[in-house]
Amino acid sequence: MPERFRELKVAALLGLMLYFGLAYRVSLTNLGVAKPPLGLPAIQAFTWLGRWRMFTELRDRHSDLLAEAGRGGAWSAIDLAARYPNHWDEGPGYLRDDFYGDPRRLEALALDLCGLSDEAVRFTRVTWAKSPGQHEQPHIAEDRSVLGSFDCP
Amino acid sequence: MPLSRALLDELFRPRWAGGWAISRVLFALAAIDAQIGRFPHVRDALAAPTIVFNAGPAHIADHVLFSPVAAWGVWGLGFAGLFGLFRGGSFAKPGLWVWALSYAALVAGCGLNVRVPERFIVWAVVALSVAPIGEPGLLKKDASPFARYLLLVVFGSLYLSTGLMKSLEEPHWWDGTALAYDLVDRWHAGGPLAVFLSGQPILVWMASVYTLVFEVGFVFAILWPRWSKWVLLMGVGMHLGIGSLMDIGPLGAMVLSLYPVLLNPEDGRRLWRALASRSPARLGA
Repeated sequence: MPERFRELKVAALLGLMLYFGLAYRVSLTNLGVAKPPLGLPAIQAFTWLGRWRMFTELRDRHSDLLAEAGRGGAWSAIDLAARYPNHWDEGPGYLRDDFYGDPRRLEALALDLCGLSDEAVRFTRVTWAKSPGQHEQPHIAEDRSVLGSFDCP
Repeated sequence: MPLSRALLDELFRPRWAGGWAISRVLFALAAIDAQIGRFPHVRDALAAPTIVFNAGPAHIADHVLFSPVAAWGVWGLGFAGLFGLFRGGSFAKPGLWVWALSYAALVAGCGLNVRVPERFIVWAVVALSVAPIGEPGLLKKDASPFARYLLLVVFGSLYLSTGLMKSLEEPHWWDGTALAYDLVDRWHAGGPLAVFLSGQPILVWMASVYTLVFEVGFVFAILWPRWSKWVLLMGVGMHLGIGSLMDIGPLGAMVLSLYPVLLNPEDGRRLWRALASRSPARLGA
């Protein structure tokens, strides 16, 4: 007896191929090498499950997030690793690239970091060149960019 | 339409289903290994108020946050589900779904941690759900190839899209430097072997080109019965290489666990018979 719903299954497989094709197109847009398709935000969400961008672009710099508390015009460093030790597979969440581009997340983090006498919290992204072939990764060609400063309540 | 009917008859001709029996066990073992490895981090990563900083677009953790006991309970439920999947029979699919739901519940609030491995798990669970994994005697019988086709589409898109992006959009994958930098990444790599390889331009170039050839060539080679076992062997080499050099979580083991299904079913049957003839008692022949 032939398998049931064969035509439907073929259509599902073809639909899935189209879906992955669309997801690839969105990945190219996110890489900055293709024009955004019409209705990009909706398509971004729709294709989220089909995007497979892994180690695609050159990542030749290490990256760190520096948090500082402001008090009386002076800034002092906050040990983020001690405050937020949670790891999941690839290090702390606040070191993910996605984190830097989201002011909402940075503001939530700032509010959590504000101490009793702190006036503000600011974040700086520190990057430095990777050194292949050696364990030590000294801060060569270091670059610092302030991501934002948030007033404490 | 006799032609299309003949095509459909051939396309949906039952094929050896033993690959699913093997992959079910391997997938369960890979997931159990990942589940155990995450146990110490359940409280810190998934039940701490700081999870809100890892939130995804839905910001679920703003509204629902597990207590440590609840998080470990959900983790334990997933663990039990995986044992059901490992045991097989009527426990296989319910166990799979219990694990998948518990995993989703744990990581849903932690959006930054939902990435390629989690997406792959979703597709693997879909394929395993429509596969005959709960049926007895799979090693000796044929079944519908639909779930295998589904998995082929998923794997084909996974490898092809990442391979095309690397080979067409990042020239440094062709000279090996992109891989060399990844091998000294603070979170993904940095072990002695990875650091050594990152300083060997010829070796790292060979590994880089190997990756590109495999990822782009997979979808074409897997469709040809003569080539499918060789491209899968290349894939085993690539994933074992990544596993020994880098730490990218459970993705490699889970991907490899499903390779027995991707193998041409006739090759799989022959291989299984050859193995079973050497050790009939152990392999149930």
